[in-house]
Amino acid sequence: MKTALTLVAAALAACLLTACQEHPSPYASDLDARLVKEIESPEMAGAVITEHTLYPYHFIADSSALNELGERDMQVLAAHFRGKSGDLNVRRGAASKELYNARIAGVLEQLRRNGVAINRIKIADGLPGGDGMTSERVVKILQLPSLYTSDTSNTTGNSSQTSGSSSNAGMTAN
Amino acid sequence: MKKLFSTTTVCATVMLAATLACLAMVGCSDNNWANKTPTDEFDVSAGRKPTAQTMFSLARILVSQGKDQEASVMLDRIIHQEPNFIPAYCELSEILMRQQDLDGAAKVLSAGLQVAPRQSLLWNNLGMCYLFAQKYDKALESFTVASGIAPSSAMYRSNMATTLGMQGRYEEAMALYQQVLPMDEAHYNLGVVCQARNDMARAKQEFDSATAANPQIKARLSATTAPAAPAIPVAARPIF
Repeated sequence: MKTALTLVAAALAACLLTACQEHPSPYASDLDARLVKEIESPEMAGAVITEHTLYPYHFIADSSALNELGERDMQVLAAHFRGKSGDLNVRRGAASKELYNARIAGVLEQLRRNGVAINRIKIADGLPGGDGMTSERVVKILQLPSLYTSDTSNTTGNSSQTSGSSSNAGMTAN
Repeated sequence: MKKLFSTTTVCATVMLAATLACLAMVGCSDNNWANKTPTDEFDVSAGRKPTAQTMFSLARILVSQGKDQEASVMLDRIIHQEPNFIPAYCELSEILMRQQDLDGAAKVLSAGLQVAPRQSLLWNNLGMCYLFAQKYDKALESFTVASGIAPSSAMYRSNMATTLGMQGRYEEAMALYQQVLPMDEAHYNLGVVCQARNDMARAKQEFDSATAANPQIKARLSATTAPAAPAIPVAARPIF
């Protein structure tokens, strides 16, 4: 009984206390609300899916790691490819062969980490690029997971190629 | 019916609650409350400093009156008094940019980012400083951070596209423009960027593509014949 009364007293005090709390700056809260709305906007996600391409600007300069924007767009693409098949292009730009290969390996890892089954992912030769760009690779995401592919313990190495050599480890950017 | 609480217990509880509330309120009231004996409404706020919001409103009025110098002093004061008041950094940097003091504006925005490193607006405006200063690598870095923080912002991506275009990375610029604009507008914007780079052949190609997608673009092109329209205001205005 006394415990209940003490709780009532504490609740009353807490209610009164909220009345004299300082409110955050309305400008700051407006900004936060707008940002949340922006992040939830489906239009941009639709545009990213329509392009289904990762560009050099998605990566940290001279690095195989995605930057924050790259991570965000990658999450959108991975969420899309979890339920659908399709191609994911990774544009090479001015990246060296080694850097480009490392970027593709990183993209495969990101897809896997974001829930796309590794046995649904294949690497294929892409079309030769315009503007003097060399031919590139396409990450293909298959519709149904194949139960009869080789073991899935070797992640990137397991991703067979539809053309070229049979192992992703030996993948080259022409 | 059995009485749930005795009268004495209820009274004691209410008194305890009231005492707790009073004690707590003392904690969040003005420290020198005991010395004040306000006689009317005006006296209540007589000794108080103007809030950052009040000073900011005044600064904006000064800006609207063209009194940039006075506004700068006011905004500088806000930043020193309340470093967390982010709009002051944006407003002050805008004034400095108008005065062509791009380094000064970048410094102000960098100081704001020390306080609020996740404010995409500050990153975007910092990118604008670098873009106008033709420091495209740094501009791209800033716009990319802004876009990473607010990935659905068409403005930040559009600014990224302009910067990439100015670096000659047309394919990436076009891809970003297409994310935020209709096809004809995307080609038109890239055409303007190409013009700004004096890449007239590519500019013509982009304007032709824009016209093919939307014949009404032709009227706009003939209205803005050479010299080239500035690249930025088309679709990539900074938010201030």
